[in-house]
Amino acid sequence: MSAPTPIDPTEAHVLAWNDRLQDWLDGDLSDADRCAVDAHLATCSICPGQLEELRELDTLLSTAAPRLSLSETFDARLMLEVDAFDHQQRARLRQKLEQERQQQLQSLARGWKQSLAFVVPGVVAALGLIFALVGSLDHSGISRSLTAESAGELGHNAALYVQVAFIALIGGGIGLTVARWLSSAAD
Amino acid sequence: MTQAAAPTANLATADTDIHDRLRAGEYRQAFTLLLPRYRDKVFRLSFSMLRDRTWAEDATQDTLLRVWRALPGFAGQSALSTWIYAIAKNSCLSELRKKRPLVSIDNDDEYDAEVAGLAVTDSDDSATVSVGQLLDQLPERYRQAVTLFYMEDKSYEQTAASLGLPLGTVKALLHRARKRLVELTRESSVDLTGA
Repeated sequence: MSAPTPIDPTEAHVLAWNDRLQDWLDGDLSDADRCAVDAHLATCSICPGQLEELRELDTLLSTAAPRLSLSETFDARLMLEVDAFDHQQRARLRQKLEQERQQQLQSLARGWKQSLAFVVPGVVAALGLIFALVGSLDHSGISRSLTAESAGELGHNAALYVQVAFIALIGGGIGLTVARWLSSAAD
Repeated sequence: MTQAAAPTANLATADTDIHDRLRAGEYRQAFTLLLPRYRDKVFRLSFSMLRDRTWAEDATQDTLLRVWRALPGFAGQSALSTWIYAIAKNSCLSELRKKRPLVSIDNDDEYDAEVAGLAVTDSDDSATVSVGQLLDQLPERYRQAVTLFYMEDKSYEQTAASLGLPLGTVKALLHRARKRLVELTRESSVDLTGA
C-alpha cells in the first residue's frame, strides 16, 4: 500500500483560508473575524495574492452578470392568457350548472309523474272506502241517529250538509294518507 | 471593496397582503399584487437555469400562468415565495427535459457538458464570453448558484430563497464555485481583468 501524497503546504494554506477570504470579500464576517483576517493578511505572503484573485473574479462576475428585463408586452400577454383561462373556466362552470338544472328538472318531472300515477289510484281507493264506510254506517243506524240529532238542532238541509261534510272529511283524510304513502313508497 | 447585499425583508411576512386577499377569495387582486413582486425574480431564476433570454421569458410566463391556476388551492402550507419558486423550477426542468429527458440539477455535482450545452449564453461581449466559458465548465448546481447570486446583486438570502436551499448551502456552493473558477482561470490563463 503506497503512502499518501503529502499535501503541499502552500496549497493547504490556500485551502484553509479560502472560505474566510471569500467571506471577507462579501462583507460576511463579524467585526472580530474581520480584524483577524486583516491581521493575517498583513503578515501572510500567500493570502493577499489569493484575495486579489478572488477580488478580480468577483468584479468580472459582477460585470458580466446579465442585466435582464422582461419585454414591455410581458404583462399584457400574460393577462390575456389569464383572461382566456378564466373565460374557459366560466364556460365550463356554466355548462356544469346547466347540466345540473336539466337533471333537477328531469327529476322533478319524474316526481310529478310518480305522484300522479299513485295519487289517482289513491283517490279512487279512498272513494271506495268512503262508500263502504257510508254503507256500513247506514246499515248500523249510526248515521241516521247522528243526522236526526243534527236535524233537530239545525234543520233537515243543514243536517244533510253536515252528513256530506262529515263523509268528505273522512274520505279526504283517508285519500291523502293513502296517496302520500303510495308516493313515498314509489320514491 | 465589495459589500454584502442588505438582507431582504422576511419573506414570510412580506406577503401578508397577498395572503389576506387569498383568504378573502380575492384571487385577481392577490395576483395583481404578486405579479410585480415576483415576475423579475422568477425571470432571473429561469434564466439561471435555461441561460437563454427568450426561453426564460416564455418559462416565466408559463410559471405565472400556473401560479394563477393554482392560486385558489394555495392554503399557505409554505411561504408564497417558496411555492412560486418551486413552480418556476419545475417549469424550467420540464422545459429542459423536453430537450434531454434525464436532466437533473439538484444532485449533480459533476460537470455535465451535455447539460451545459443545452442552454446558450446570451451575449457577445468578450468579458461575458470568457466568463460564460468558465461557467460552462462548472457543475450545474455551482453554475446556477453563481449566476443567480450575481444577478440578484449578491444577495445570499434572495439566492437561497429562489433556489429553495438553506443559506449555508448556498454559501458553500458559491465558495466552491469561485474556488473552482479561480483554478480554471489559472489553467486557461484567462485574464480576470477582462482585457
